[in-house]
Amino acid sequence: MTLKDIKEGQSARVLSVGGSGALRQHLLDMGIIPGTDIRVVKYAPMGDPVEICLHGYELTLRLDDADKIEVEPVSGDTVRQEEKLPKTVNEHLGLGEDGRFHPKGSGEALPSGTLLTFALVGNQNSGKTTLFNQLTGSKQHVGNFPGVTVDRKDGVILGQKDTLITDLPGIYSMSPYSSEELVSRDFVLNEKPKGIIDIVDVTNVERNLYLTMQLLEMDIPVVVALNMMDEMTGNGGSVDVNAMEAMLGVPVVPISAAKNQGVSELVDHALHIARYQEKPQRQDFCDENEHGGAVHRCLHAVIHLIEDHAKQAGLPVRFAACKAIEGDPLIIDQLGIDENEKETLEHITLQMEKERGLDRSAAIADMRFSFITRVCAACVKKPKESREQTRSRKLDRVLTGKYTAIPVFIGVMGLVCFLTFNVIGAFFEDLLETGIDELTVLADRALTYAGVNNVLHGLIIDGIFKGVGSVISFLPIIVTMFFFLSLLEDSGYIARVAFVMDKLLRKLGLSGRSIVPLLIGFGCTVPAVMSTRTLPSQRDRKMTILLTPFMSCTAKLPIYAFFVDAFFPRYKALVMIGLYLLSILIGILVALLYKKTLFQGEAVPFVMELPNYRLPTARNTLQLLWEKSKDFLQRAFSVILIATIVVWFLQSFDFRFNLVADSRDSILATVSGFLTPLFAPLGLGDWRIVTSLVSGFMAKESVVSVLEVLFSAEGGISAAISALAAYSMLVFSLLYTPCVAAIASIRRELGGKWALYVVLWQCAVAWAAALLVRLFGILIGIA
Amino acid sequence: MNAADLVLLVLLAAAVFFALRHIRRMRKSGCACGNAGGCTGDCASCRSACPHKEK
Repeated sequence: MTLKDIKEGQSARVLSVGGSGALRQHLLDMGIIPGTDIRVVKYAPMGDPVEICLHGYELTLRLDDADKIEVEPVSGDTVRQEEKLPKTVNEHLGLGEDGRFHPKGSGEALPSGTLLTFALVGNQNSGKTTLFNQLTGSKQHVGNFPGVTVDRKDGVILGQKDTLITDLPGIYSMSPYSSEELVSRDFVLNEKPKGIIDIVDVTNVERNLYLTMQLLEMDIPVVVALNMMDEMTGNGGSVDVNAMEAMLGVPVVPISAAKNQGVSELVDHALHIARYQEKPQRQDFCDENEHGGAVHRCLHAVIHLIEDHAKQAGLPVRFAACKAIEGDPLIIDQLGIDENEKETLEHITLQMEKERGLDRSAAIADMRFSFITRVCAACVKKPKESREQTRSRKLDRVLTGKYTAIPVFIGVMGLVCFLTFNVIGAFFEDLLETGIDELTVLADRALTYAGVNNVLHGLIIDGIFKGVGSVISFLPIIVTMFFFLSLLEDSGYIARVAFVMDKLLRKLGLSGRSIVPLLIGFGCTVPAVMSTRTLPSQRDRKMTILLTPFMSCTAKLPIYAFFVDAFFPRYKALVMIGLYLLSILIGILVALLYKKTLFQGEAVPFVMELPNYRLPTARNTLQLLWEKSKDFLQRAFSVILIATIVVWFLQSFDFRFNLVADSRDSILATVSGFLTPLFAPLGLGDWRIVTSLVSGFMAKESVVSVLEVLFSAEGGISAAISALAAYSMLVFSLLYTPCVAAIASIRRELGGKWALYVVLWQCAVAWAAALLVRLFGILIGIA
Repeated sequence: MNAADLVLLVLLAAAVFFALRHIRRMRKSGCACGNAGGCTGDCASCRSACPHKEK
């Protein structure tokens, strides 16, 4: 019997974990090891993947992977209860505090002025970035789904000038499963920070301590920060911190990063252990009495076998021994052991496997989890079910329910669009537009009154005020859209969408995790491309990156709003939603094409943690809105201002720099004239439209500013093109090449060749789609 | 050219100067997402870590 055969709500005990390679190691690292009790929470609405609960947290697995896990069913009352150890009173050891661990003033402190480097390491979604922001006063974005941080970030601890703390992407173990996990492992292994701040989500302590145990093996001073302690105690749980310190041999500090509680104590400990290089007091977690001591003897034998090699290679011995036993090829290569030693290693490991009755990886993982179980039994009193878990369970009944999940998702996205384009965003847009119009009239009068030169007058009113002003008026729509996307992300809903949509996306050759970059793509393509780093396979990453430009980013909103206002004012939301659906539909078709051609094969397994729902914090949301507005205004007054001035100049002068009476004689008209025939079949054979589209490559918003400048003299765009041509233009704008910033990020992730491919491919798809729209329109007699 | 023209030209030149400096800094810092004054590590567009703040 496998996990796939277990029904919703039933529990089972793991007998063996099949499969091979990185996925199997990842499953073991996530705590799916023989002997673990697993409860099947629910199957996704489409029957796949499955949500399971183990070690007090929720994980998703595809049925194909669940099929590799052999289990035996257990009834509710035979589910293993946590072992309770007799209560003991532990003195606070004071590790990492002046004068307790070593006599005050003694110890081998690093010379003053030495830069104390720290790595901030922890599981995904454990609150590292929140702590980083508290420690450094920085304002990095935080979210509520696994994998918000995809790259390292550095900062100085507030008030401690000789410090440098690096926030690393979340990892579950030191066996990296995805590319951003590799960033974290390489940092700890190669850059050897002076200290590690290990952030442990105390509400999910078992799985988090797994990484802690591997960090303790790194022979680097560690301080453990028990984060979300407020949530734990608020739900009636507690942690015997002194006992945990004694068992782990490192300072343990309870904190709440979000509330800035315990952070200063954490800093004191971190500085001290780094300055005095107080390494973990305990690294030996294998128990000589457990299962005949098979793992214990094996591990110590291998430690002796590779000790000299590990020292030479600069690797921590215990860590290297564990990895050598697990068969990690990177570490074995780094150790440089000869054939004879490799054979000895293999014999020792085989003997351990025989005695322990588990394969090597499972045996090592089991050894760690056994120790963690002892630590938790002695130190942690967990609430039966926290408020957050109860709330998540109740919400999930609807949000991931069999019959409700997909309608709710469509409803939520529809509501976001409706509120953005018809209610909130539209209201503020009208308000801002009126303000800008009033200002333009005032400026116009003032310039006329002052008798300003006509050319200068034209530049300021028809160029800058019309161009930049038209773009700024769309700020509310963009900010509102980002506001809703941030609410969805911070609440933890996006992770559920990934769970619900996995089966559907798999049909397109993608994994459920790809939904996260794709949804972010509706905000901005640049972070969407960046966030693909959380995808564990190169194939999935490439395919997702190539599909993100099909998701309509918020920078294109001004273009849609501009045309919709001019041509379809009565059907605003309908046209907007239609455009979004069209982009998704074309994205799906292209994904199917990719699946059959460029990216044949299957998407990687979907193993993802489902975080509890949390209320987004006002601070986080407001900060995001402020930064988004600031960023937008900076672009409006830099790139778009310059583009507007250049376009105004080129359309106002001819090649002899004479002011033209008719802009058809201008430099711009002549140059754009070369490209115009290409757009004629789309009904867009107007040099002004071509110019605006070309300028859109710099920044999408500038399409509107250029159109505003070029069409202002001739009664606006509605007098120049038909409604069908306008829709054709909308479709082209929806799909054609993303802006230069997005292309730069694609180039960084995939290289120049792929970036060029995206530019050409998106233009070709956009052209074909716009042509089809126009032909269809003519066919049904709209033209 | 009157005094008002002159004032406007100076203001315009200043605006263009600051806009170009902003664009140049963006290019120089390699921050495609448009952070002013070079890369600070806080990236509003990215809503996440600025990808360019690598050593």
